Amino acid sequence: MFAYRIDQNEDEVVVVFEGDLDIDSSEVLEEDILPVVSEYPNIRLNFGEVYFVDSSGIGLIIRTVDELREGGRSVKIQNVRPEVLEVFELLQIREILGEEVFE
Amino acid sequence: MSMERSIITRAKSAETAVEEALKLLAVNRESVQIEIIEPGGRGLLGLGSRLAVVKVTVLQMQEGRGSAAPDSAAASPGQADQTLSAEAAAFSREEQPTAAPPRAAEQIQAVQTKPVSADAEPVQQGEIGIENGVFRIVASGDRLPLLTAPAGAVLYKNGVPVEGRVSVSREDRLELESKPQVEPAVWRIEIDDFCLRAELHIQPGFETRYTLIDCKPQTHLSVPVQASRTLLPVSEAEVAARLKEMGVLYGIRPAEIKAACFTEHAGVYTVAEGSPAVQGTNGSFEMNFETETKHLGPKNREDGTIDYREIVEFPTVVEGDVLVRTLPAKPGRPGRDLMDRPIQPNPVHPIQLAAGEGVSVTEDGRRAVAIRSGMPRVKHQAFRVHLSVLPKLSHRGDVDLKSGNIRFHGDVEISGGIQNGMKVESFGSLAVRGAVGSATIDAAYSLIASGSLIGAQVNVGKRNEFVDQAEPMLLEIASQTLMLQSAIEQLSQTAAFKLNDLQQTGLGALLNVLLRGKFKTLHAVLVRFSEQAGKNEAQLDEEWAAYATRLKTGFLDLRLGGFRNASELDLFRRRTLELYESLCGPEDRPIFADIQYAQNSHLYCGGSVRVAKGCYNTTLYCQGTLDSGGTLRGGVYFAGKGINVKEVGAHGGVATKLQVSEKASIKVGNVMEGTIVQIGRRSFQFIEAASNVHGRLGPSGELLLF
Repeated sequence: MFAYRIDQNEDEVVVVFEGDLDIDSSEVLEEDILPVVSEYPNIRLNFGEVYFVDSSGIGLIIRTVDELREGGRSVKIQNVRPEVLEVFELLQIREILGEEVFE
Repeated sequence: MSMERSIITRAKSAETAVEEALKLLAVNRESVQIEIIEPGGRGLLGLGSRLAVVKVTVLQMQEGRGSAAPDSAAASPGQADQTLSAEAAAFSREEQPTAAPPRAAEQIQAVQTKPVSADAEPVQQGEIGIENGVFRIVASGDRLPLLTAPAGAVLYKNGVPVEGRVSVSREDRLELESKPQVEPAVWRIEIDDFCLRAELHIQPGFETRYTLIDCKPQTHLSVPVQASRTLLPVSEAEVAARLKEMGVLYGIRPAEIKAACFTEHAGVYTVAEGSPAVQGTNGSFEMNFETETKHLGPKNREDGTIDYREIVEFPTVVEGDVLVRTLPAKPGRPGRDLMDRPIQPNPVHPIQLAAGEGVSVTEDGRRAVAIRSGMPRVKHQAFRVHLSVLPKLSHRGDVDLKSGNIRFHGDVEISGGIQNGMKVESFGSLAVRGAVGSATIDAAYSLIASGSLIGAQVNVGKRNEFVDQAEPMLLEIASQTLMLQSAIEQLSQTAAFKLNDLQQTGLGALLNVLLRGKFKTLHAVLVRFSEQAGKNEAQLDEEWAAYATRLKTGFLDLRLGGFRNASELDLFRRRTLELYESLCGPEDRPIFADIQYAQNSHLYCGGSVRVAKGCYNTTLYCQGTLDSGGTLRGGVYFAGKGINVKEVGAHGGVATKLQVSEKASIKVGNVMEGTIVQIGRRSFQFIEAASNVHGRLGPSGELLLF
């Protein structure tokens, strides 16, 4: 089960994910969300309602963040739940994406 | 001048004392005056006995003075001493005949005084002696006798211990300590680190009693004492108790304990000894074939030239040959330590036979049998013996357009030659009987060319460059992969991590993330390995090629999803270790090239090169030594470990260059003009011919040529 909500104002967009960020939700992220958010210079990804992740989901997040930053966008990931953060730590996502992405 | 001689003697009776005195003075009874100072006899209440003391004075002149003897009845012992001292002053030792030793049985003590001239001021000197174990002090007012305390024993003067030299007077009470002096035994038990031996270090204890030795009175008495020492043995029960307290339960030797307790000398006794474990033997193996390529020569002929005929033969086995037999390991026997604990012998390892290509191991694991004919290879590492038989290809006739190029995973033997434009590649050794034209030859280990090389491109032992690089990389890959496996294991136990996608699509997505983050270094090694393998693709054999492919599709090219699951990853890791193991350990086959003659050829060799007849306009690079019994005429010749040739260059100056590394040397019998020799960075060109050149660098880096 995966849903998302997009809050946007002039120069910032906030995507609030709800559900599991996994292989099944990748399509949604890639096809629906990415085209919308890439219009904005500042992007926030809110993980507050993400309870489970898998390697495909994480792989896609990494790819997405990389691509957006290459396009000159600023990307931040916020409100990561402790249990998901444990996975992030084990995979060293902070090292891959850079500390500044997390807030 | 008048002299008077007198003597005081003591004996059991007055009569005996007088006789003794007469003897000492060597005079008869008529010429002396006798004074009884102490009549002797039974003591008070009949206890003990007192000695009689008499004073005998020689009458100077019979017609002269009369006796001046005092009234004997008035003489008290105290006065007697006074008299003695007074009269002793006139007693001349010189005039005294040699005194007979006092008869001990009669307890006679002669008191002699120093000679003093009659007209000198009379000096009163006290004396002290020991009689029947009791101090006798004869002391007058002027000078007191001196006493030096005995060594070891304690002497009390009026209850105070005496140290060094003191004077004593008649009133002083002198006593020797009667209680024995005790030095207690000092001992300890030491147990070695292995708890196999308890040693008792002992310094035995003694009790010493001192008694005075009698001696005649003298002005300065060094108190003579006799010491009697008795051993104080250590209690055996105490030793046994101490051993028990230390936990020693096994191997106790009561006889040694007893010997130690009663020893009179310091020493070390092994009072308990455990039994060490009896070590077993590891498994071993014996090989039934020659393991090394035999070098039968080259031999020096008597005339100084070298015989390069048939110098090498390869070991071969035929199908069904038993290559190796193992002998089983023999386990050891456990021992027992002092605390009665078992000591296990070191574990023993059996030999494990591993069958490589062309080899089968019997079911009991005891024998390895060749299942095809060819050249045996052995890798022996710790307790693992890996055997394989490389096949051998025998090609009859020339390699030409008709036969096609040869590429063979094993040894190759060509009975003919190799024609222009052809290519021969051997993953083992290569032997060519005939001439080689402008062909390309690659041999993994060795080349023996019995014909000439004209315009050939030769590489020997080049595969090993890749292998050298691969070795450390494999080890790194294996250890990092193990860490990767445990990281995945840990991740799969995390609550928020879903595993469904891994089950569907394989580990690829996860590996991708891990190789970017936590396992960046593994990623770098994998990429480097893959690149190297790609570059050397042509020279990799099947197992290496398969491994390189697995590495690429498993980790790097994830289009197919990478490794499917944890067990595939583990299989890959174990394969990595196997390959690593097959590399390390002693290289079982030497790398070398033996050629007869090369012209306009290009030759690389990872080992040493021997050229029988010579080279013309050839470029030769080898990492070992270059030896030639012929002439190197034109071309460049480099050998890492040194060059030894008969002749170099040509009259009329065809440029020839010999080069070695800075630590090696060049030895040439005859050098023609124009030849260049280079050692390290120093080089020299010969303007005119020379012989017996020995080029090397001197201690400060200068080039020495002879």
